[in-house]
Amino acid sequence: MAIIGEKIELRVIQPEPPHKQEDLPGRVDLFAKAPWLARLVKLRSFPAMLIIPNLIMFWIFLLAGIFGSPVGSRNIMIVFIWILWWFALIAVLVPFGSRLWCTMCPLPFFGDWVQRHAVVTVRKGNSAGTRNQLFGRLQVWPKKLSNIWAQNIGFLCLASFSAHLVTRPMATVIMLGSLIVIAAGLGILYRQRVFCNYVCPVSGFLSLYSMTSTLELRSRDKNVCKKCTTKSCAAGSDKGWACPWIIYMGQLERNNYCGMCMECVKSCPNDNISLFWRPFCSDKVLKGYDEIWKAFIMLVLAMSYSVVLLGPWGKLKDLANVAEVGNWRGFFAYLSVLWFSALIALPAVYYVAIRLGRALAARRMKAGQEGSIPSMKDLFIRYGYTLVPLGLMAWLAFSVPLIMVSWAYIVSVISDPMGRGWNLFGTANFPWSPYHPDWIGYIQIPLLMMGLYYALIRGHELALKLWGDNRRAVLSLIPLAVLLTAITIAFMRMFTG
Amino acid sequence: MNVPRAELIGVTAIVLGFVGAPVFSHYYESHLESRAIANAPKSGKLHVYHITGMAKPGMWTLDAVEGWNYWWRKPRRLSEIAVNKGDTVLITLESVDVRHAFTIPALNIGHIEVDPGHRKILSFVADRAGSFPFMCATVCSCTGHGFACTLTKKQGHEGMTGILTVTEPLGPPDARLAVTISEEKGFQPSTLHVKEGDVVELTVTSASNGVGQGVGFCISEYESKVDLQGIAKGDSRTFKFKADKAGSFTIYSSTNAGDKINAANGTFVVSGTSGANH
Repeated sequence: MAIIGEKIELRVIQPEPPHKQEDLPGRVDLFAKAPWLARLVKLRSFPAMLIIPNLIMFWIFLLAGIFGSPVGSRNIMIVFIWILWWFALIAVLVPFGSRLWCTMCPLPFFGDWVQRHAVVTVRKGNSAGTRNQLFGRLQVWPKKLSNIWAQNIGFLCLASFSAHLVTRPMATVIMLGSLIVIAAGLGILYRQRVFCNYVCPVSGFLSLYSMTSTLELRSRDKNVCKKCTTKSCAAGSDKGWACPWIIYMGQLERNNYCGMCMECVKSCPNDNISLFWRPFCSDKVLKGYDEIWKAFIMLVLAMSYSVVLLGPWGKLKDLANVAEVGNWRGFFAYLSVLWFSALIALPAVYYVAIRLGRALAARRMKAGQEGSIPSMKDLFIRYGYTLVPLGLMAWLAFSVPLIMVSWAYIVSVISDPMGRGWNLFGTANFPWSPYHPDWIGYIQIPLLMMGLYYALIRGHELALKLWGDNRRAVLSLIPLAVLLTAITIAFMRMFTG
Repeated sequence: MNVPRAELIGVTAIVLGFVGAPVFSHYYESHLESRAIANAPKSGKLHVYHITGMAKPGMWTLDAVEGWNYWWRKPRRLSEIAVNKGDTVLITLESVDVRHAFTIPALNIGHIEVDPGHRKILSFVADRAGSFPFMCATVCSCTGHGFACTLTKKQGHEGMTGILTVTEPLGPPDARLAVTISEEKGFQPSTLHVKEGDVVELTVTSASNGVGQGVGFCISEYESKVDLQGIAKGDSRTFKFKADKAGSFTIYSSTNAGDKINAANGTFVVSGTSGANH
C-alpha cells in the first residue's frame, strides 16, 4: 500500500499534461463550435479591422485631451479611458477575453508598421530568424531585460500620478503619447513586439490577470506541434507573420505572454491553433520574482486607488494630487508609503506567512523526508498565484463604483467629446445620475469573496502539488489564508465603511 | 508597385481618420458659432466674446484654457468689455474648474450657471450706456460630481469681476471733467458745469470701497447715458457722453455704497439756450 501510495503521490506531483487541449478539464474548442469565428480570425484584415478604428479613436482622444476642456469629467480622453475602457478591461476583457485588448491595442501600431511596412498584408522573406521580410534594426532585446520588471516599475510610476492621470486629460495625453513614441522607437531598434513584451505597463497588468481568464489561445494537439517541421507559428509563413510575442505554440501553457494577435492561427499549416473556453483561473503557475512582485504591486495599488480615489479622506487625496494642491512634501510622503508597501511591506508580510506555513507543514514531515520539503523560493513564487484572483477581484470591486457613479459622463461626452459645447447626438446635457449607488457595497463584497474563494481553492491545489499530502498542504496554507482573509476584510471595510 | 486592395483600404482609413477628425472639429465649431450668431439679436455691430471662468486664480479671461495649457497657462484677466450703445454682444461662457455663475446685475442679465466643461451662450443688445460690472454670482465651489472633481477649496469668487462699458459713438470731447468720490467729502467737486451739446469726457475716481462693491456715479435723467457702477477703491473710470439736455441734474451713487455716500449728492449743470432748471 505504501508503494502504491508513493506512486499516487508522484502522479499528483508531476501529472503528465495531456497532448490534446480539449482533454484538459472544462475546455471548449470555440473554432470548432463556431467556424465563422475561425474564418473571421483567419482573415488577413483581422486584427487590423479592430486596430484601425481604435487607432482613429485614440487620435480623437489625443486631440480632445490637448484641445478640449481640461475638466476630466467632460473630456472623452478621461471618461472613455479611465471609466469606460478601464471598467471594460477589468470586468469583461481580462476575465473573459484574456489579452483580447492586446489584439486591438493601437499603441504598437507604428512600431509594427516600421517593422512590417504593412498594415494588413504579410511579407514573405527571411529576416531576424523568421520567414517574413522585416524592416528596422531588428536587434535582439537584452536577456537581462527579458522580464517584466520594467513593466512593474512603469506601472508603479504611472500609479504614483494616478490622481492627475484620471482627472487631467493632458496628463493622460502625455502618458499615452509617450507610450506610443516608446513603442515606435523600440519597434525601430528591436525585433518583434519588445514594447508589449517587456515595457508596456498595461501589458504587465494584463499578463498577470489574463491567467484567470476563461479564454485561451492554444494548440489543439501538442503532438501535432512536435511533428510540425515548419513551426510557422513562431517563424511565420506567407500566410501569417512570425509571432510578434516570440512564442512557439507547442510550448504555450499560460496566457501571460500571448497577445492574441492571431497570426499563428493564420500561419499554422495544420490548422492546429484554436481559441478555447476554459474554467476561471486555469493558469496557476507564476514563474519568477518579477511576476510575483507584479502581483504584490497590483494588490497594493488596488488598495491605494480605492483609498485615494474613492475613500472619504480628503487629506490623502490632497497628498496624491500634487499638481492641484502643490504639497510636494506630502506627495513624496505618499509616494514613499505607496512604493514601500508595494515593493517591501506586503512582500515581507507575505514572506513571513509562507515561512510560517512551511514551518508548520515541515513539522509533519517524517524523519528522512526533509529533503522533499519544497524550497522557500518555490513556495514564495508558486503560492503567489493566490494573489492573482484576489487582486483581480479587488480591482473589479474598485472599478464597480467608477462605472455605477460616473456612467452618465459616458453618455454626455459621446455628444460633446471635447467639452466645448457640442451636442452631436443630443445627449451632451445628460444629467449626472449615479446608478443605484446603494447597491455598490452589495456588489463589491461578493466580488471580494469570490476572489478569496478562488485564491484559497487554487492555493490548496498548488499546495497539494507542492506537498503531496492534504494535511501538510492545508497546514502550509494556513498563515497565507489568514493573510489573504485579512486583506479581503480590509478591502471590505474600505469599500463599505 | 502593386499594393494589395486590403492594404490600400487600411491605409486610406487611417489617413482619412487622422485628417478627418480635426477637419470635422473645425467645421462643427464654425457651424455652432454661425448658429449662435444667427440666433442673436440683430442690432448694430456684433461683438463675440469667448469668456472662460477660472476659480484659480480667480478671473474671467478671453484666453483659451485647454488641456495643453491648463498647467502652464498665464491667462490675462478680462477687466473690460467695451462696446457701443446699440451693438449686439454674443458671449460664450465656459468654466475650466468649478461651477461659476455669470451675471451683469445692472442689465438684469443672469445669473447664468456654467458648469465645468459645459458651454453657455448669451446674447443681448447693449441698449443702455454706462459701465456695468459683470461678476460671478456664486461662491465658486466644486460641483462635486464624481471622482474627476478634485478642486474643493472655495476660491476665486472675489476676483471674478470686470466691467462692461457701453458708450455712444461720439467724437473728441468738448469738456473734460474729473470727480472723486469719498465717504468724507462725497462727490468732489460737487458741481459740474458743461454746455448743452458738449461731448463730455468724465473721469470718476473712487476713494472708497463702499460696502464692498465699490461706488457708483449716475446723473438723474441721464441714467441711460451715464451710469458707472461698482468702481472699486483706488480705481478710475473714464466715460464719454453727450450733454444733450439742458438743466441742473442730481449726481448720485447708483451702487449701494453705504449710508454716507448714498446720502451724498452732487449737481450736474448743463447750461443751454433755454436755461431751464430741473
